[in-house]
Amino acid sequence: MDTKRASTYRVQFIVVIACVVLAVCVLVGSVLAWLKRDYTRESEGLHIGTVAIEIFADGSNVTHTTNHTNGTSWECSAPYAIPTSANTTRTLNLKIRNTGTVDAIVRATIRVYTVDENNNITYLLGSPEVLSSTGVKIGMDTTGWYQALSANNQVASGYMFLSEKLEPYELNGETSSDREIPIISQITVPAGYENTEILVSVTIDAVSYSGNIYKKIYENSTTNVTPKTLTGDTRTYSEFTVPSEDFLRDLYPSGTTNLIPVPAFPFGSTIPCDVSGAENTGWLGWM
Amino acid sequence: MKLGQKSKFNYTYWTILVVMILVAFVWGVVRVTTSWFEDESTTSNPDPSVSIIGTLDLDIITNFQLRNLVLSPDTTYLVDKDGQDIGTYIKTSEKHNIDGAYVRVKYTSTRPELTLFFDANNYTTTTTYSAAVENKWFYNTTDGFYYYIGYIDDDNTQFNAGYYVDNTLDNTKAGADCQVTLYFETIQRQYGASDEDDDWSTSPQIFRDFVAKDNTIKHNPND
Repeated sequence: MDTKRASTYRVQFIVVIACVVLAVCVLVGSVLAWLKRDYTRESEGLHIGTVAIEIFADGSNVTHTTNHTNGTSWECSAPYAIPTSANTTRTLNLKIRNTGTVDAIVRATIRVYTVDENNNITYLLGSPEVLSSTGVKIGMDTTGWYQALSANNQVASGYMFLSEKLEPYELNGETSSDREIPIISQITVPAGYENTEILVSVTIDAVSYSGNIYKKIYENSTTNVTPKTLTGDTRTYSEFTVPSEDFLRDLYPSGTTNLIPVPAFPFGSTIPCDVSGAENTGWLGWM
Repeated sequence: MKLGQKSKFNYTYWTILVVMILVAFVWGVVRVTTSWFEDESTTSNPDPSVSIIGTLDLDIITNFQLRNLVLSPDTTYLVDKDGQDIGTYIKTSEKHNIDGAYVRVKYTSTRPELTLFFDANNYTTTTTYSAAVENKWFYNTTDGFYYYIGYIDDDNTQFNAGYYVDNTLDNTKAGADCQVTLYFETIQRQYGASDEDDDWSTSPQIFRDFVAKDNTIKHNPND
């Protein structure tokens, strides 16, 4: 009897202890919950920018070929045939647009030539010696171009540079004719060429304005540039012609802020220079 | 079973039952008064399903409307396409009714060239707590969170001032998509929650030292 009673008490004791332990566990678990919350915010529609230029004649896209060179620059060309005409002055109305999504620095080369029945090319724009015999004149709207051909200049300068960054033609969903830049408005051909098909080839190179040495100079308001010497680079400091601010102010009207010092550096090069006030050197950017 | 034994058994039975009821009652009371519900939201700020004491809720302002929604090389973005501030701001909302909150933020991006840009006065790399680092953000490499060495209240607290793209972009990456994600975690200030919660056990010492100091100022929300 005593044994049985003791056994009963033991069972009851175990049950009570088990209940207490379970209650404590629940208690402990419940008091360790805290006020917490989390939130997530995500962007939409972001992407890496692109550089792209297209050429238009009288509003029509005449871009022929495009090419990304060296992974960083962009080139397009448009061999454009000017119809034969009895008129000696022919309207081209060639313009360029930045059809990419980021601001670009732009340079252009212009070639005017004929092709005979044997596919021989005769450049009408080239060395002064050639031009002096052909008398071809190109009418251009030179607003905003540096080293541009003047209305009476018969010499192809090689490159001409847009002296301001070219913003995307479509910006934040809106287009603007202000961001369409004229190159050649008309061509005046000499006597004897009235019935000759003349071809115009415009090649545009473009690089991103951001990340470029030109942007760095102007936004830092400095012209103190000291070229670094790279292994194998034999250029001397004198070959890096750095225009002073006064020079640029004389060259361009006051109030012009987005000036490209294109005479200073080889366009499209890796610039191994130190820029005063800048923390990094050896610009890579989009070359 | 004899009568005496039966009485004793009934007494024991009822004792156990009463004890269990008392324990359950105590548990219920304690749980209501000292434990807090846990809630998670992955979108905006939902209403808490149950609120007995205290509501933790933040207002977060983010702006990813970069100009043309594109990234250019070597560019710092501080304003959006309309010239508006592009920084991220955090404060307690109108529904928030406890005293402040601690916050930590994790930043991820699908493009390594894109990083956060902080105002120089808003960020510290110092690992030692002092009054000088209060109200600044500290990046904890252990868990990848930015910890605010302070507490959020109803005044706007700036996280990042903008975004920066380095100069390694080239045409091979042109047009590539980019997504930025900011993930915010917040926890109550009171009762050393950030020290006790398992999720916050990775917090850096500089934050813990601040919390220890902060807790000497404020313990009970009813104070």
